[in-house]
Amino acid sequence: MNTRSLLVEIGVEELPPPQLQALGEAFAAALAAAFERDGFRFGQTTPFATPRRLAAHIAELPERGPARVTERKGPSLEQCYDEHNQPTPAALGFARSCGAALEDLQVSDDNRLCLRRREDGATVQERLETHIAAALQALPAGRRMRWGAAAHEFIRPVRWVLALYGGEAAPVRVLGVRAGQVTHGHRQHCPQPLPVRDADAWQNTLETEGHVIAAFAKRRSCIAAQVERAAEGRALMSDALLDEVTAMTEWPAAIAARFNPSFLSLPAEVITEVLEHDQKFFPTADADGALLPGFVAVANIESAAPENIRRGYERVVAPRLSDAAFFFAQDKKRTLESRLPQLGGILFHRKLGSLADKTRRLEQLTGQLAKQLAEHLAEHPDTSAADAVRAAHLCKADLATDMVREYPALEGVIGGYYALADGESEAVAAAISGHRLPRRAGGDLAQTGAGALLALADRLDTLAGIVGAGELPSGSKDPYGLRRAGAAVVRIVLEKQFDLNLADWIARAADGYGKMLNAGDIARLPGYLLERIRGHYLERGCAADELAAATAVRPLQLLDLDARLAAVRHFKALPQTGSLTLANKRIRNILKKDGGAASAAADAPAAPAGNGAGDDAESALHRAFRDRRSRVNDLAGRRDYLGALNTLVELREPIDRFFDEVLVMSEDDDERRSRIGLLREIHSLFTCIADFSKLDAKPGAEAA
Amino acid sequence: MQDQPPTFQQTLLRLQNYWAEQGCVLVQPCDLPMGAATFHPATFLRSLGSGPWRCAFAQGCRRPTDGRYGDNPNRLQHYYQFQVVLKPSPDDIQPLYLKSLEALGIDTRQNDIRFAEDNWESPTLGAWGLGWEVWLNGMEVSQFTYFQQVGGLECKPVTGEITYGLERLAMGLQGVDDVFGLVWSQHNGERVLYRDLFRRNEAEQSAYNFDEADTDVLARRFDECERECRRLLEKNLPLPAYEQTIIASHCFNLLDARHAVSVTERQRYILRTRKLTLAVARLYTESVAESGGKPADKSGAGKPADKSGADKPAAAPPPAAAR
Repeated sequence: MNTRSLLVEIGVEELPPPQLQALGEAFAAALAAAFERDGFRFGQTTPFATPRRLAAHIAELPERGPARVTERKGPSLEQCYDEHNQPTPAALGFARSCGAALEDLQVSDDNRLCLRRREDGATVQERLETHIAAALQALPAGRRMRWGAAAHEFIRPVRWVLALYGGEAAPVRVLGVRAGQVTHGHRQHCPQPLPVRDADAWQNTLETEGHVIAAFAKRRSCIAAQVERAAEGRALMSDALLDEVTAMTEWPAAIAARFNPSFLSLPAEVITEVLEHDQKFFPTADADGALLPGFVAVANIESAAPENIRRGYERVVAPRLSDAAFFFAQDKKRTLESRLPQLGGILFHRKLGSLADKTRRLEQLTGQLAKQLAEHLAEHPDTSAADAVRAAHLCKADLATDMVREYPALEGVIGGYYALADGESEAVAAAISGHRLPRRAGGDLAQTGAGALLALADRLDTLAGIVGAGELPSGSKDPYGLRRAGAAVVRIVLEKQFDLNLADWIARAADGYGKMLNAGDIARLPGYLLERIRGHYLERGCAADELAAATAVRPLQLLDLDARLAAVRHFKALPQTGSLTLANKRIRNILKKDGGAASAAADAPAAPAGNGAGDDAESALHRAFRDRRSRVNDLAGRRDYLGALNTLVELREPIDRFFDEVLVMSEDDDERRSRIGLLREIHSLFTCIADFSKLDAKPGAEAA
Repeated sequence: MQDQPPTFQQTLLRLQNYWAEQGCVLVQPCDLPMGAATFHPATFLRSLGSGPWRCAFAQGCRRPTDGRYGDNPNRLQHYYQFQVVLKPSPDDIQPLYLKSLEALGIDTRQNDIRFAEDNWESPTLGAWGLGWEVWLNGMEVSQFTYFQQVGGLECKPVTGEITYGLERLAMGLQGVDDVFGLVWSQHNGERVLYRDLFRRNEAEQSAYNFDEADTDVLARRFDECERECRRLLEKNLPLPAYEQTIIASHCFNLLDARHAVSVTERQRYILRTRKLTLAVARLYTESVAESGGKPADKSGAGKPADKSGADKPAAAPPPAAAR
């Protein structure tokens, strides 16, 4: 069948940058998936996204989908023929309604009279409008809006639609806009509508005539190259800012500009924040990483007078930097210590009091954590418990400064600078500076032990308080950033090797609130943290079943979990795994069925009772178990889970034999109880490491 | 840009001319203190209901906390917005806006003009919308909003609001770094600067806002406005009731500048004002619907109110002009 390319472009007013690339990809994927569901087979799908358009190109799309057989069902056969095997009125009526003779009807799989028709597959043109509408509807966009007098909703108003199948414009109507024959290029470089020859020419026409680089990735690398070239020194291009600038331009042109070098006396973080966050400009640095008094901006136009634009950029940056310099000088006139009373006037949460209250709790919790981790701290000369507590005392004070009020993202960092200016020690300043790290998923952690410890205390306090106040995040709403806080806790504990059980420390953090928190709400926090832990490991490629097995036991003791997870991974690679996993599943099922009826005390496995055929296998398992129990416990106690597992693996043979030869559910009560008791003990020995019944059984390994 | 950049008043005149040509009614500023032109009845009330509406006007805006005693080249407690209200928002609203920049002498092919995402929400007005701030070579010179909800009511049709920050815009056009150095007007070689008109006002008003405003009086005034607003709502007088909310809102802003409002109180003040504006919006919409969709005709409302003879500001033309 003939194939052609399909190009669908939705022209809009400027879309929000943060979602842009994902929107383009989601649109193309959804459109392709819709055709796929119709049975179409086609070539590559390519997404496009610029501030003013989302588009998808699908290559080699056949004109028609595959033929389909449709079935219209009528009455059941019993109702269709009478005792003389003559058609009933019901049967005849159904045939009539189908416009077919009775002989043309067939019998469906469930014994009903039915009409089967072979239908030609739908054409691209027939399906296109529905598919576009559905793809737009399904976009993972935030708030949608209405515009003008119509009721349509989209992320921003839709201004044109182009749907080309080969060279043919499809007459679709999308969100109230009728598709035409033209696209629109760059607002200023190409103000007139731009005709497009066919779907394959679209991208090139836009670029050469329309001054629009439609592909996100291409535009992004074009920007990176331009910025690199324009920069004096080295341009500091964060991925996030590069994405954002790409999402704000269709025809990027880098322009280098400068600011007064005297501003370099400001903290580098402040200058970077002004340039990146306020203005979306790229800072520049010398070979040693020290900031230079220049930046690179990316205009969305190739201007004949770029110096005008440069002057404009410089005129915006200068007052912002002088504002910051003013704040920096003013703020330093007072010590952080002297600002502490102000924290009483800043609300942490309406049910949980002020930041002064939070500071008191933090000092206490940090002190307790430092005691618990004393050994750990001793290994790191950069840190003392006293430093951590002093930093806890001061770490929120910068929230009362003008600088942090203006640039909230600099919380902590600014406190670190001001602490040094106040004459606090380097260690205290570093801990304050690091206590809000990591700022984003995958971001740097605090460098010093005291900083990491304080960061942990801060997150635990927030998690306990906000969750205990009944504000567990629901859906995508997370106004207090608890998801991030939870993820930060996991990373800090694991990467800093803090040996502590989070279950205990949640409770300690909650204690700091006295009677303010709701016990029922706080009880949901361990589960919430467990989700973050699972997320942490899954993101790093951990297999879901290994994770499920390991987190079935003491999941909030993270270093322990980490060691058990490694052991489980090792175990899964062993040839004995298959049958041991099956055995564990079997044991668990037996125990589950047995339920609470035979409670633990009664089950202490005595010597095997009775003298049946299975006696040998039973006592063999007993012996094997007894010989290994203390060794396993001993190894597990030292977190040598690999060693413990290797010992447990030796039970495979006796267990397999036991199940082959012994009937657990014996008629004899004593016999049964004793056997179940043995299994229970074995089960609990395994589960000091993980619940192996949660592993996927590999049928292939069973034979081994 | 043109050789001779426009003075402040030329900027204003050009915008007025341009938008008048687009069919906007040049209503005049509201005579009450307000934080943004969105509070002007010609914006807030007219974006309610179904009737079409196009207007433009300059509005002096007061933001007490932004005052710097006239010492900061970029911060003012009183400044001007030029407001354009287009209902329903036309399909070519962005090109219309860009042409207004051309009318001011800005060559859009040589300057970097950007629509940067900036969504708007006003809890006090029970309103939100989606849109952008407009950057001219990196400087924010306008705000652009599609109202989705106003006074807690869905906007049908949607009003498009364009708000120019006149000082910012003029600074960009005149290429000055200090707002007080803006040329307001020029005649026969005689120049009047922004400084001549407003520097002293900034200093004195900042002193009032930050140091002198009597917080007890302001708190009491807020309470009184709230009571008065409720009373007027019961008398079926949404227009004067609305004015009470504008005054109340300004009292709150002044209290805020005096640091006389704690965090929890702050939330409560906002909620109180919001309650009033929602009630005003509801009553206004009902009365508009009663009068067949013409906001100008107040129908049965306000019979007792006209007797005072006070020269009330007309949010809408007086009843006599309606026919």
